[in-house]
Amino acid sequence: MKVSLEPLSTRLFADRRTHIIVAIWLVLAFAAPVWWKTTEVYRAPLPFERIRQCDTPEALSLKLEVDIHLRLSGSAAASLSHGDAARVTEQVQRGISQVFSEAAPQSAGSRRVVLAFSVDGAVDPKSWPSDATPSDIDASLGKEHGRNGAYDVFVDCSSQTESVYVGQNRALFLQLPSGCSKDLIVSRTIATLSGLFGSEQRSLSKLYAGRRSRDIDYKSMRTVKYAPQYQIVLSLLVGNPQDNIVTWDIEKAANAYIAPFLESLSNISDFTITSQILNFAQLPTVPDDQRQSDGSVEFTMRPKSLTSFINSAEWNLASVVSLAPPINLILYIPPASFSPLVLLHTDGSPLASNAFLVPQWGGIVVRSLPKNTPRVHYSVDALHHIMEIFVEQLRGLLGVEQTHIVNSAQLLSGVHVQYASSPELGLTRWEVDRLFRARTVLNIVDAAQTLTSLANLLEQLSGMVVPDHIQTLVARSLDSIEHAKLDLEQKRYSSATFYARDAITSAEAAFFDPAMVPLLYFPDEHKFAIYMPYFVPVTVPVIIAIIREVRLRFGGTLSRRLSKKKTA
Amino acid sequence: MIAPRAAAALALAAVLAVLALAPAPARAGSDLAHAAPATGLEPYRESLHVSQLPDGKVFALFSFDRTIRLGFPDGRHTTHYGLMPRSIGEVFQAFDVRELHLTFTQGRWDLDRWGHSPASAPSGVELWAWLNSTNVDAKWKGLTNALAGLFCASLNFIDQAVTTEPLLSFDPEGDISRKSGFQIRYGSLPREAVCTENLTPWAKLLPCQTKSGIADLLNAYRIFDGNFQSMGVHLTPKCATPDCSDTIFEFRQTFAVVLDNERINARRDWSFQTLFQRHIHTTCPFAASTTVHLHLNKLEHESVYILPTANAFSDTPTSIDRYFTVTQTPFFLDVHWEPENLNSRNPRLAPVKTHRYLSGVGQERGAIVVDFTNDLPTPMRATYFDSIPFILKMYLHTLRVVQRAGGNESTDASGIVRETFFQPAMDRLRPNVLELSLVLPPKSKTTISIDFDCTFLKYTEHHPDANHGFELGVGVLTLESNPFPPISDPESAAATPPDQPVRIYTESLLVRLPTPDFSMPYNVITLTCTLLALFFGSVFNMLTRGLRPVPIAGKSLLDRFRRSRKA
Repeated sequence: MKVSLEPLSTRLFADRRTHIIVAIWLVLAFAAPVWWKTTEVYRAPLPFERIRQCDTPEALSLKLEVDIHLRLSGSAAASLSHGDAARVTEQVQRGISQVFSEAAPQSAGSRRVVLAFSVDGAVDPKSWPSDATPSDIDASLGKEHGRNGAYDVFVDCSSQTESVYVGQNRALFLQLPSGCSKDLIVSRTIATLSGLFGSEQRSLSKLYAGRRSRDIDYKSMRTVKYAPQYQIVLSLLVGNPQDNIVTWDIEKAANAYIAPFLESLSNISDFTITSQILNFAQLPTVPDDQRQSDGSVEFTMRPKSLTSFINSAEWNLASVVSLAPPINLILYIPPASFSPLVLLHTDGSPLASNAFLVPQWGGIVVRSLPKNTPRVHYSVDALHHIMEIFVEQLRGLLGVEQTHIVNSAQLLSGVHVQYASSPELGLTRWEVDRLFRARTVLNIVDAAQTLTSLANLLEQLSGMVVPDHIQTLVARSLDSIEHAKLDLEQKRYSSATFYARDAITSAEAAFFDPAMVPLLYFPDEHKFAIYMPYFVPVTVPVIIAIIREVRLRFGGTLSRRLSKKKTA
Repeated sequence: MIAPRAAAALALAAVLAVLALAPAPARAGSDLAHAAPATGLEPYRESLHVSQLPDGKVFALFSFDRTIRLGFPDGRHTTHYGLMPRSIGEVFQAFDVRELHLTFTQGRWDLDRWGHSPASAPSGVELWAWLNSTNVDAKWKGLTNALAGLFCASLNFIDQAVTTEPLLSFDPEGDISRKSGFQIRYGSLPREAVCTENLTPWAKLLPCQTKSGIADLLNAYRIFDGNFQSMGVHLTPKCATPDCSDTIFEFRQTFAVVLDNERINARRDWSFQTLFQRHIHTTCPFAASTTVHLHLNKLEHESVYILPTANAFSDTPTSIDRYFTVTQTPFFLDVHWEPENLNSRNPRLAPVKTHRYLSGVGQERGAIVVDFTNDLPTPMRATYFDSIPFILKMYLHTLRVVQRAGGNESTDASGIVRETFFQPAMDRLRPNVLELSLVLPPKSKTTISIDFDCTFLKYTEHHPDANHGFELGVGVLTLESNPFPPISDPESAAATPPDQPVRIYTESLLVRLPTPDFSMPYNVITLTCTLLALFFGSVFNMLTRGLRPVPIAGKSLLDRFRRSRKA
């Protein structure tokens, strides 16, 4: 049977086929954007460029300016010639700048923080009444004297011996021998200031170098991770209430000792104080017993076994309500079967305080009670010593560094150095200021780093949702970083502290936001697995059809091919 | 060994001395303020009620009562805790809880064999709380989440979709009134399995944990071997001043357990040792009083020997009540019956009962039927509360009430149902709530039924064991007056108000919804896609390929093959 096809009908068929294929491709072309749009994950645009910029070493190199106000007393002014008083200021300025420009690490390409000083001075005969001691003047200044980053140096030249007194209220007192020279005033001032701020510069540089530095000292390892809110939990743990029922007058004691201390730190974090009594608190380890020379038995624990002192499985220390990190301060009363319990140094000698600090967790004070004391009540007075230890432990945990003139033996040889203590607050203005400065710069850096990590994470995981409020938080954090840096430049430290806190809080809120997690667990592989069984068998003939169609139409003229076919 | 015990006794004496100064326990609230500075610790009492049920099982109810202060009249919260654990105190404060009742129960109280329960609780978890807040729903959500963390239970699954607000049932038990602006929230989890992981955090809240006092008997190996366990946490407010400007709270932990003494022991006799394998080895040093009350029902010819000697007793020919004040430790309790064999007679059947069951066939629709039986010669006023999750669509117009009394059947509901509250469900937002105020006629059986349609759920909403079905929470019948002789002792009666409502819980129900086959979702995707792809492919080929007849010459297949080879 001979088959003959009309050329027209073949042509019609070819055209129709082209239409069909084009129509299918048109549907695909229009459907693709719809599919793309409907399966898209919502990502609010984030200012990635701004985030990257604020985490560069240049952007994070900070300068903390400190104003030093020299106040020469009548006697000091008297021993100087008229022009010398102005020259003292100038020379102190030059000297101290030189010391700190050497101290600051100069490696380029890494962020750094430097202290810079500007010194001014005046002869102020009334500043130091002849019969006043440094501590009197210090006390008369009051707690609100000056501001963070501005300190007074009182110089007097009327005493027999040289002495330096670091006050509690942003003041420094130099007592020099009568008839002191300009050079002595200058050198002593420079030595004291550089000693006083040297340690701060060093620890700031060290902390600022961040994780890259292996040289992290024990002090900074002790400090709890910064949080804008902490819960201070005071717990009285009684080993066995069958031996002693113990109660404590904790509300009054906490208000008297711990609340003022925390109050002075309220600019960087909020604190809540709660207390509880936990009974039948068993130790997870058994202390060693040691027979004393008088035949009595003493129980001891060495630092090694203290690592398992905390029985976190049994002791009800956690809160289910608050997310603020807790700082636990524990007064532990061992059961009579383990009394007296003595904590030992590594060398085996007993610890005088019978207390220890658990880095980044809290502090523990152990107090053994005598036998046959069924009821014991710790009054506020009885708690005095324990509260002192708690405050000291809190200082360590919160990173308060003791005011200290480094190398005072060399810098100030033969000079009697004395530091004021602050019995009401537990920390001096010098310490508070220093902590605030350190916290501010660290918060700025941490906020910048958190934002960078968030940006990196979002760039790597394209399936992650970014809701609008994350964008707001990020913008707020960036604004706060900039405000904080501006305030630091303009020496508004308390405002800078506030903005730095806001920056880190917003940055962490954005980073840990639960709204971003869900789609993270829907990987691309799953999508392919679902699309493949349909789209692979469907698209292959469609693609082949279009290729054939293109070849047919443009590979040679259609008419020639058709006529070829006809002849065949 | 003598010295510490003497010290403990001394400690107890000291506690008793302090308590002696305090007025009667009913006024425990007002003396808290005075006692607190001296001791710093809240008043605490513990008591144990033991009775033998008609079928020989032993019922023990432990209660641990503390009077606590959560806040001050000036609005300040307590932040320094004594015997009250901080962990739970903070929960109450943070979520403005005024009254709270939480029970974890395993097993079902067998009304027919055990009579009415002094510690009635539905199986699973039940939580209801009165909250004092303007933002009640957020606080309730926080509360369920916090309690979930505290008790290692899935309380966080009590979400908006299962939370209800009962209007007639669950009146406040403390000194607050329904009208004072506080709001109630109720939720239950019938599926929750209760075990030691819930007991441990519960026991941690006790002042003496399980280390001394009556809690010493809570031996997890034995108590979870019983037929019924229910642990509860109850917080009820009490006025500290006559004008109620200052509120203190009664914080009560309870543990109710039914132990099958005969299965363990093969005898009717029992002792603490056989039941718990423990005894009370010391009293809790914080407890102002530790009391044990024993209640037994007996026949007149039976005699019971009980050790040790009770401090007080009130016996009748058919019942025995012994009261022990535990001062001497160790404390054992031994009960010996004469004759030894059990007469399973005169069970104190529950005169008011309720049962709930499903009717209908198939997985598409059905009906819930609830029976109420009143065997008393007097009518009984009660409220019935039932909360059915949105997975069932209930229709109020299908509510039918049938009453049978003395062989007569009537469908006239007017005398029985006084008020009806019905809240239709909204998908994923709120459950169906049916609340009825009933008068159950004397010697009658009332049956109500209501029809439902099953919904088709999203596949993520099914449980991991989808073919198990969904458990519905229990229905609650609250009797307005207590028709039963109270079996609590006079001392604990002071702590628990005698007019505490009696709740009777129905069974929980298991419904099966239309369930997809979860076993092979990917296979289903692949199969469907392959079919669609085949369909598309053939249609596409038909459209784009021309079909032409092919000339066939030659006759055999071989010829054709040869031709095609040549071509």
